[in-house]
Amino acid sequence: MIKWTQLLHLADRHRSDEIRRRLDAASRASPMVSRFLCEPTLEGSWNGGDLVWHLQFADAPARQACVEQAQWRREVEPLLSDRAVVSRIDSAIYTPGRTGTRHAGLADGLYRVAFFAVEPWATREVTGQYEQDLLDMPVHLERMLGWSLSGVADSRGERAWTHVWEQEFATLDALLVDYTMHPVHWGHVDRWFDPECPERIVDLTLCHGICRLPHSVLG
Amino acid sequence: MHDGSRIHVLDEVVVQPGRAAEYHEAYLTRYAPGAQARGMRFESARMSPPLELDGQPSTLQFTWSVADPPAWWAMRFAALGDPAVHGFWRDTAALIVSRSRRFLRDVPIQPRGEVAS
Repeated sequence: MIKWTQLLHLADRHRSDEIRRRLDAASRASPMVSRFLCEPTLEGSWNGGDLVWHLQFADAPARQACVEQAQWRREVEPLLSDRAVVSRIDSAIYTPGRTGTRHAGLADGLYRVAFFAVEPWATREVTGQYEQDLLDMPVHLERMLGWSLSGVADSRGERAWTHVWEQEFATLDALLVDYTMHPVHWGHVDRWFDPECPERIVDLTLCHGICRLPHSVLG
Repeated sequence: MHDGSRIHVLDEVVVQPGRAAEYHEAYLTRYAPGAQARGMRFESARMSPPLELDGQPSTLQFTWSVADPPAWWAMRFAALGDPAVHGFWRDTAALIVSRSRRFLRDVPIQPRGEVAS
């Protein structure tokens, strides 16, 4: 499987509904897209843009075939390349990494995606420890219903993104209170991100987007 | 006293031989005022060995606390946006051998026979 997640920063937020509808229609009309979501970014996001657009394909050739469709070139490309419409895109293409789920059929939930850029000087060993710390979080956070940590194959945007950290929750409260306020987060994992901690290896610029999740994309 | 919400911040800094007083002064004049403005409450400063020894590094411990996790995040994001914080750690790096920052919270345990205050 190949995933492609894009955080779209719109030049004119008043057009958010219209753009979302057009991307939603293009995703729905593309037979190569096996699963997708296209939703407005919710309050509580940080550098997450205005729309979260997440697409899944069977493999890399399917993704390539999708973007080469005449309809895609006619409908999607001009929209995304017009700076008067989309001012910036943070994008990651990736094969799903280690993934877990507690509720495969989750519906009407919440999707959270984060893009991280690990500093190029971080060693493989230290990066492995940081990845394991992220993946250990669900052990402590029962209301994290789905999670996936992936290395990025193709990145675009404000940084060369190295990791995509995706989660699913039933409610916003589970993310903003349980996840954010839990000691495993502030007392253990955040040291990889905190410039006051010598362990920091993640670039200070990151993307954190939250959106409605009509149906699970991790389960 | 046990306070389940309060979070302690422990900076442990191993300072180059002969530089403990200089580091102490820098920490308390350049770092502490901003930390207090970010909601951190100063708890203690300690040194081990308890005197500077010729040619040997000293370990300094500075302990702070914040009220609870929301206060911790407020402190964290305030520091993120403050170039003076990054400037302090960068400028004092040459004085130190190593350092760590740890986060702790109280746990409700005490020796038998002790009465909680």
